[in-house]
Amino acid sequence: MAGVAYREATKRFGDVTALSDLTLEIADGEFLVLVGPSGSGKTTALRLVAGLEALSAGQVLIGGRVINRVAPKDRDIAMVFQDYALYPQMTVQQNLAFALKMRKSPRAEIEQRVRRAAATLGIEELLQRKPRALSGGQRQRVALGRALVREPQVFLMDEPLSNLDAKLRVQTRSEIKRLQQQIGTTTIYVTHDQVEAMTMGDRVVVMRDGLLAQVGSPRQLYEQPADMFVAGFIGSPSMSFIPVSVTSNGNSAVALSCGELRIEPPAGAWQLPDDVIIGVRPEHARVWRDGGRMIGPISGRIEYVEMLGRETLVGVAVTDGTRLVVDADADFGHRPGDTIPVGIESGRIYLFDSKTEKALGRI
Amino acid sequence: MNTASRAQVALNYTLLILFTFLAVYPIAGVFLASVYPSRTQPTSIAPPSHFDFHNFVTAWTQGHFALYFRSSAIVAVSVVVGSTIISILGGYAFGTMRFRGSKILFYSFILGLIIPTEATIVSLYYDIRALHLIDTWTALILVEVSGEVAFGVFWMRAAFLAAPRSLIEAARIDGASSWRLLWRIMVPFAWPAILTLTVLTFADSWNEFFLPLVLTTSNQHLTAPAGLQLFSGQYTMNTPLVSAGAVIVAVPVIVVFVLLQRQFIRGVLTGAVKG
Repeated sequence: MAGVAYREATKRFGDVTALSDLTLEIADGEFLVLVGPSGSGKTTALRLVAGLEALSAGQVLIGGRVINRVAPKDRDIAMVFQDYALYPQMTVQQNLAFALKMRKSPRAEIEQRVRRAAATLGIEELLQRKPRALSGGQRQRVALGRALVREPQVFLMDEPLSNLDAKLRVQTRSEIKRLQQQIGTTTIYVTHDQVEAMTMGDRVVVMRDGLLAQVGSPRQLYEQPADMFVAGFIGSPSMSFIPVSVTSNGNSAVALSCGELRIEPPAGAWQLPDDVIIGVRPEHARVWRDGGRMIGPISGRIEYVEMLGRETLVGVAVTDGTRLVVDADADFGHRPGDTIPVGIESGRIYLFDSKTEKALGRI
Repeated sequence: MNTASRAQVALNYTLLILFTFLAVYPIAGVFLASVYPSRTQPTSIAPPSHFDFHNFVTAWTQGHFALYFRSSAIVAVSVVVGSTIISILGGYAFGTMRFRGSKILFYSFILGLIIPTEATIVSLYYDIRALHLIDTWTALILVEVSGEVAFGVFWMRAAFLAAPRSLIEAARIDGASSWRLLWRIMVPFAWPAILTLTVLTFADSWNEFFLPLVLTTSNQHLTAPAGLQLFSGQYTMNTPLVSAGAVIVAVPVIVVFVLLQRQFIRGVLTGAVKG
C-alpha cells in the first residue's frame, strides 16, 4: 500500500483548465473523498492518478514515485467505474480474473484470489453468470470485486454508487467504508453527493472550477467552511445566506442588520467589511420561543413546508428575496402564507465577506 | 403504450403492404417463371398449370454453375475474411485511438464510398494488367476488398464508438495491450455489427457483376452473376431456364441472410437502441 500525492497537478483540455495547480497529500491507508459539482475537476483529478489522462503540468506520485509517465497497468491501481465497465461477454469469474490473467499470474493464485474476493463480497453464487444477468447492485459488487482481486496499492472509485437506487446506495456506502477499513488500502473516491462524502471520507476535498476549495475532515468542512461555496455545498439542506449591512463603531462592528434582523456581535474587536453575508444552517434556525440563546425574533412569511417525518423543514422569507430554512418540529402546524417569528441560535451564525465570499468567523 | 388511431394503423399497414409488394413482386415473378415448363413463355405473374423443377437441373449443368459457384465462393469468402479483418482493424483505430491525421485519413476512406467502381474501372484494368493479374481470383479479391473496406471501416468505427469508453479504460488498467483489448473485449462487444458486416459484404461480393466481367477472360475465373449473364445470352428465348439460373445464383445470399438474420437485425440496431 502507498500514499498518493499531487504536486501542482494541472490538466488542460484545449483552452479549458479542468484542474488547476492541485497540491494534495493522501496518506497511506486513507479514504479521501473528492466532492464537487459537475465540472469541478474531481473526476479529472482521479483519472490523473489512474493514468487515463496525461498531466499538462505538475506531478502525481504513488508511494513516493513520480508516475507521470507510467502506463495505467503499471501503476498498481484499481478503478471502479460509474457504469461498472464489466466485460459483457465474460462471466463474473472471468471478469474478476482478467487483470490477473493479463499479469500472467499462476492459475492457482488467480483462482484463490477470485474466490477470496467473491467471498468477501458475497458473490460466490454469481461467478458463472454474465453481467447482463445481474441486477444493478450485483454488478456493482462485481465491479468492486474486480478491483479487490488485484490487491492494488490504491483504489480509485468514480461515483460507483450513482447508478444504484437510494436504499441500496446507503447500504453499499457503509459496506465500501467497512471494506476499506478492513483491508486498509488507500482509496480516492469521487462523488457529487455531499452525504456520501461526509459519511465515507476520512478527509474530504471540496472542488470547484478545477480548484481545491477546501480539504479537511467532514466535521471541519461542516463547522469551519472556508468560504460560501463550501458552506453551501456541504450540509443538506443547504445553509441559508442573508446579506446584511454592518454598523461599526471605530474599529469594531457593533451590529449587523437587515430589515427586522439585528445581530450584535459579542464583545471584542470585530473588524468586518461594510457588507457581510451571514450563513445559517437549518438546524440553527428555529421557530421563536422566548429565552434560550436565540437571536431574534424576526417575522417571516412561510413559503413552503416540507414534512420529513422526524422533522419539518420550513422555508421562511425573512427579508426581500432571502429565505431562511428553519428546522421545525414534526408537528409543525402552520401553512405556506402564514407569518411566523423565527430565531437564530447564537454562536452559530457564519459570517462571509460579500465580495470575496471567504469566511470571516462565527458569532 | 401509445394507442394509435385506427386511421394510423390502417395507413401503416397500407404502406407496409405496398412496400412488401414492391419488394416481393419481381422476386416472385422470377421464381414463378423458373418453374414454368421449359421453352414456354410466362405471360403474367401467375403460377404455371404444373410446376416444372427440371429447369434448375438443366440450368445448373448447361450453365456451368458448379464452376461459377466455385469461383464465387472462393472470391466471396476471401473478400469477406479479408475486408472484415481490415475493417475491424481500421474501425478500431479510428474509433478508439487518438492520432495525428486521423480525420483526414478517415475521410479518405469515406471517399471510397462516394466514388463508384465504374469511374475507376479503366485505370483499374490497366493496373491489374500491369500486375499480371488479369483473369485471376486474386484480382477480383484485391479490388473487391479495397471497395468493401471503405464501408467496412466506416461501419466498424461506428460500432466501436458505441462501446462505453470506460470498458476500454478498464481493460487498459487491467493491463490489456491494444491488440488484446481489440480481440478480447472490443470484437466480442461488436460481434453483432461484425456479423452484419459479413452478411452485407458477402451479398455485395457474391452479387458483384461488373468487376468479373471486366477483369476475367475465361470461364475458369468467372463468378456466378457474370456467368448468369453468359447463360442468359445463350438462352434468351427460354425465360423459364434463365429464371432458374437467376434463382440458383440468388440462393446462397438468401441462405446466408436467413441463417444470420437475427444477428443481422441486432447489428443494424446497435447503437440505435440503448441496452
